[in-house]
Amino acid sequence: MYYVVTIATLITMALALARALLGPSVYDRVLAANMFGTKTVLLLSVIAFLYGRPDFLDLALAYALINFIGVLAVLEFIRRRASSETADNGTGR
Amino acid sequence: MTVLFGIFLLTLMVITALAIVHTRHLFVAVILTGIFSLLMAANFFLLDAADVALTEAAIGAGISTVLFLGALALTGEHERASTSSRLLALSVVAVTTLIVIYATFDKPRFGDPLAPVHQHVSPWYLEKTSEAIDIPNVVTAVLASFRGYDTLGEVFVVFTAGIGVLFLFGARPPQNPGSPGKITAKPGQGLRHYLIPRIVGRLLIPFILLFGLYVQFHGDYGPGGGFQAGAIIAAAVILYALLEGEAQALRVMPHKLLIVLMAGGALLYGGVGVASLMLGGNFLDYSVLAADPVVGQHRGILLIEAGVGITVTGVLLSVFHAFASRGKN
Amino acid sequence: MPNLYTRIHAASLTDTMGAVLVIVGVMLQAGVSLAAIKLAAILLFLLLTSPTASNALASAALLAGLRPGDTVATHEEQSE
Repeated sequence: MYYVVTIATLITMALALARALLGPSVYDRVLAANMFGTKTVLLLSVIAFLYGRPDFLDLALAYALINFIGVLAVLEFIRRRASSETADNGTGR
Repeated sequence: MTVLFGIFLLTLMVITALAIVHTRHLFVAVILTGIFSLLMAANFFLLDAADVALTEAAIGAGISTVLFLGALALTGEHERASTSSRLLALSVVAVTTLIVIYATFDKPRFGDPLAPVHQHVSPWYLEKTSEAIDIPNVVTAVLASFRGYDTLGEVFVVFTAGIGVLFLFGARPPQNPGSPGKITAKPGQGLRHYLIPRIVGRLLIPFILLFGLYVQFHGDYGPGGGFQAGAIIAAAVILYALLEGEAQALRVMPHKLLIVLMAGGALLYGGVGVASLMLGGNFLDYSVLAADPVVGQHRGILLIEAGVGITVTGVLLSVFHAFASRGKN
Repeated sequence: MPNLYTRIHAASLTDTMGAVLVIVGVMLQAGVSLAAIKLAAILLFLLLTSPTASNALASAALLAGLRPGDTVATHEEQSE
């Protein structure tokens, strides 16, 4: 039964990767990367039980906490770029 | 079945790597590098290497992405087209790849118990850990005690990398005569005006710090240890810096404190070695640190893992602040 | 999926409901143990952070000028 969940999660990860490669704008790719991170957490939780090692769940917990930071870094980066553009050009939007 | 999952993940990694090389938009390359690190961490997890998977996930997918984005904010976003011919490079890479593939034909089968890597020192480590050190996680025992000297080298490598980055960023950029003070006020705000990420982020920071401490001290019993814990604690402070602005984060943890952390961790590690010398044993022989050798080993492992965690935290935060507080001039 | 914002909505479905179903399923397999408490913590953190990340991404896209009405092709014509 665990195998079915693992295969389903792997297929979802492959689809998210396809969106990351295809996405026309960069935000599609960031969305795909974030979704990839969440699916990795699920994959790690299921595989930890598949191999009978429940003490490997620490990795999934660490990853769920750290995945968040990447998306916030992207938001900060875009905010900085937008604020430096309006400071240079002087034209509002 | 493990082999099938492993092959699937490795195929996804090859596709991602080709896409990273192909794209000229560097922001896209950074995001794809994060996905590559995640695939690598999942692969390590399938191979039952949990400590390495935790380190790869924490550093590769979390902190590296933030540092790369910080560097991209200072430089341009598009790669310049290369002008020289790439045929020579392509042929060198192709020949090397064929040689390496040929070399893998001689490797033993995956999981073969008669392979040389399972023969000489590994059974000795597996036996001796329960007698001499008595902790369940053999990886930490090998890393911290049997091969403690190599880990000392690793801590000093991390420390040197931190010094190198601080030297490079210590040079002041030339002042722009156009607009002196206006631009540097803006980048220090952080995400203060975006309420939802700010509130949820501030809610999570204490839990991330607590989890970092748990990983640090739980390294004897499960996956964990100093490197992973240092990365997680640095990630928590970086989250605070992203939300409130790095000027505020520098008020909480100033530069001097970060430099003390960087040097202090390496000093603690070396100090444990010197203390064991002065108590009569060899350098980094923890058995002499207490009356009972096993208790001595436990104390030694605790102290050096703390040293490793402190240095890694200090270095990652110094590198982050070096990138982030250097606004566009 | 014509637009970034529709894709964000579609992806957030798996992040919340999919995560709840998978993790509750594994929790039922684990019984009452430390592993179940860790899984509950993972579920809690996933439910807190995934919607926030979607919100942050949509804010970033809106800040850069990608309006919800247009498709990506027209946006890139405007900004380049």
